[in-house]
Amino acid sequence: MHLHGPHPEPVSPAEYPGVLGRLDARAKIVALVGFVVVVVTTPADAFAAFALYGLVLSFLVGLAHMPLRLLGRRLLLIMPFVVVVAVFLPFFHRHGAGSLSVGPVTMDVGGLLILFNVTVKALLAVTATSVLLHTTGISSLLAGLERLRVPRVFVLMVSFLHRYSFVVGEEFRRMRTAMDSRNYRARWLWQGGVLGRMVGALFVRSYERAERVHLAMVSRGYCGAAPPTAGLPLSLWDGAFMAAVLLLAVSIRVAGPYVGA
Amino acid sequence: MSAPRGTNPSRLPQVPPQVPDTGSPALEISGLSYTYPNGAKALSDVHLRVEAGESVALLGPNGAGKSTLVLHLNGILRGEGEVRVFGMAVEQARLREIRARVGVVFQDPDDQLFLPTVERDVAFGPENLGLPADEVAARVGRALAAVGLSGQAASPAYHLSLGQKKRAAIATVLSMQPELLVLDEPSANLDPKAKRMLAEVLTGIDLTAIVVTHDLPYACELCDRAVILHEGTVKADGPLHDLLSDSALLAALDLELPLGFDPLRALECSRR
Amino acid sequence: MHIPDGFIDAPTAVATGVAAAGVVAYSLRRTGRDMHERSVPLLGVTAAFVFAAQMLNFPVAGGTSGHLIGALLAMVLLGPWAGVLVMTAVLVVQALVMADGGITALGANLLNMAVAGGLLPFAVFALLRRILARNVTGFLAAVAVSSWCAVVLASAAAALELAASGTVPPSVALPTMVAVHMIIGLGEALITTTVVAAVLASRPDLVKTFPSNLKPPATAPALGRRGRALTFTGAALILALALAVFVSPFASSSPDGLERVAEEKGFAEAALEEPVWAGSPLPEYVFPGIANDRVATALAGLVGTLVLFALVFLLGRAVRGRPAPGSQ
Repeated sequence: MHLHGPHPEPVSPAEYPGVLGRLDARAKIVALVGFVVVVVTTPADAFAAFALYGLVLSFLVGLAHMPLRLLGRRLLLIMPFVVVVAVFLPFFHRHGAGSLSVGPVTMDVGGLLILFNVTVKALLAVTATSVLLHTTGISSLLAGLERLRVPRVFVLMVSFLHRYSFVVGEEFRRMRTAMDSRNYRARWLWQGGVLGRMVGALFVRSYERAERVHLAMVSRGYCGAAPPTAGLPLSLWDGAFMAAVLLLAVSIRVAGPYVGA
Repeated sequence: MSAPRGTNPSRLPQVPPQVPDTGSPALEISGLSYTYPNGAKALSDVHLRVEAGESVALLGPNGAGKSTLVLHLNGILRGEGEVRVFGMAVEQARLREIRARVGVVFQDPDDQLFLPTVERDVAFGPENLGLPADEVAARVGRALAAVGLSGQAASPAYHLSLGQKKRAAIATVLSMQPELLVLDEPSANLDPKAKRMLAEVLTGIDLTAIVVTHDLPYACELCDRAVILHEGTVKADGPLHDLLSDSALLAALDLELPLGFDPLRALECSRR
Repeated sequence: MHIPDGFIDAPTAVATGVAAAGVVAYSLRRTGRDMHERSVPLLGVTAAFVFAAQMLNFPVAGGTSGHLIGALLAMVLLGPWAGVLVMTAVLVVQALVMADGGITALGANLLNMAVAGGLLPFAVFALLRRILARNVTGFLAAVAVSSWCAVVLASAAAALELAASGTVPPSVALPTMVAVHMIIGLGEALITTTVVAAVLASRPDLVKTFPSNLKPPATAPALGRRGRALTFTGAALILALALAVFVSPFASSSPDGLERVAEEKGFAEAALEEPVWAGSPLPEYVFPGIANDRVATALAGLVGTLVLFALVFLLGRAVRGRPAPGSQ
């Protein structure tokens, strides 16, 4: 049984690879999220547009020195959904687009287009978010979100989630090891009772930890009003990056359907 | 590496600068009693006086009430009786000032390092005091230097070893520039090397200190005076080495020295 | 597993995004009022707990495993509005850090997990608490049923969003996904209930929705023989209902084996001319009075299954006779 946690990240911002690592988080968030939004609004048959998006992203992936294996693993995560859509394809009945026979199953081109649409958009989006995360890191990302006016309470909560996911994950692992050492093997649903009790005990531990964290916060003067985090204004490079990525995306979106038509 | 500079329009009012109150003891507890919500009596009529500059070990078996007592020192718990820190009564209205002067380092450093980087955790206290950004940055730098972690400022807590985390937790309190430092089981779970490094840090800090611990040899390294708590009351109070040499007393109060440990010899070694 | 980008089209993404933002904003306000500054560490650490719990594999059948959603669990433990915030944090981290769930699909995924799979079943939970016995068993039964509902409703919401985006055909996808999740939901129900029971046994004060005047269990309650039998029956009933309501309307309309043979051999007409029971309430497996063929079949399936279960249950009771003295 596997417990995958968020991967520990590099020690300092200076270790973030390349040019992109030095940009302000806000610029990267706006640019890459904007890119994803534009991709999602692209009509399904604008094949040239998708190719061009892919080109832009490949450039960014290279710039970010992102290991392809890491990217590949993330891309695989969308596969179950692609399979689900594919399974339902033969039930789509659209008129006029022609049909295709694959073995005993007949489906129409419209259905295949849907499959292509969701797959390519998901792949592009996952790549864009991966570039964002790989060059930014969760703490800078959260600070960037906060400066983009996401409510501070929420940013703090996510920050705590990230911080304690390692601790809680470690506690889960230890309990699991203890169970394995006593040869606990659950294969059927009703044997899940022991697991449920373990998870319940872990909730109690998590709650008690949260109480102690609260005590520590209060002992250092916390009274609910958290001071704002200071930060630098956006630089010229940040602005240039944002503008370049968004302009490219929008131009591809607008021109794309006409290329190759 | 310094924290980003710039305007910090903090909405928090600054804690007024600390007025030295020579003549008042660092800590004065009179007749403190505390009962848990479930009815169990934790502390009964505790009296304790600690002068500025002293280093006191708070000893006692599990369940004696040591941690409960600690929580009264910065106003987290409030029982019957009086607790005064540098002449100031620990009461609701002055909690912010109290917490700026009394720094409590809890047992589990993971509970105290809750922000993305060590630097941000160390800055958390001074920021809550409403200090401007450059003062916060200066204090962070000094605190990290005092515990020997200047190089780890930008690390996330989960990258640190337990010993480093314990020192980082101390730094998070030092940056508030307290006058009374309270440490709850500082040496718990540390290996000998980490314990030694921690002892070097603690002996280098020139503050009034109260150290809650089970580790009697460690207490010998850090403290001169011992207060022994047993079932919620102070049963003994005196020079550490004298108390630890009184085996009848220790037995009566459910304390045990490690095998072969001779407190007087340890005293000679440390004095050499 | 959360819907990636691209599977939800722009209009649906905007609509769900706006709705989700509204829900989160309201939850922030309600939680702020109830919990004050204690909430941040508690919500954050609980979110870490749910995040870790979602990654555990729970055994389902013979080596296959399932995963917990946990929205209703979070709500039973912390209250509904805090639960929404916890699930939002988990979703955001999964989307950004694990690439599990799309950014444009955040609104849709949040509606699935925290509203359809959270607030709605929580309403069911609150309703059941009023109806069922005011004791631990009643509380846990409410937890079990509503966590089952959570999975079913969440899958229905996901299917509807995908259908609205033109990604899947609604008439097929909705019933299939719901039927499958009716079974998966049994796992969520079991896990959620055992977790809540375990917490009640050690720290009942941590379960916000557990009334303080109720006596908590001394040890984590385990089902006795009667409880297990009831649960098994309940689960079987649910499975049968799932199949009857959602799958049978799509059953082939071609004559089944016997009818075909009858037609071939020529005695089919003989049967039609003289029905044995002219007054049958559900002729030809169709509910009289309902125009839509599919709905009619589904309803017929529902009624038929319930009647069958009732009959079998009564028969079982009758056959068992009076229990021998000293047993049970």
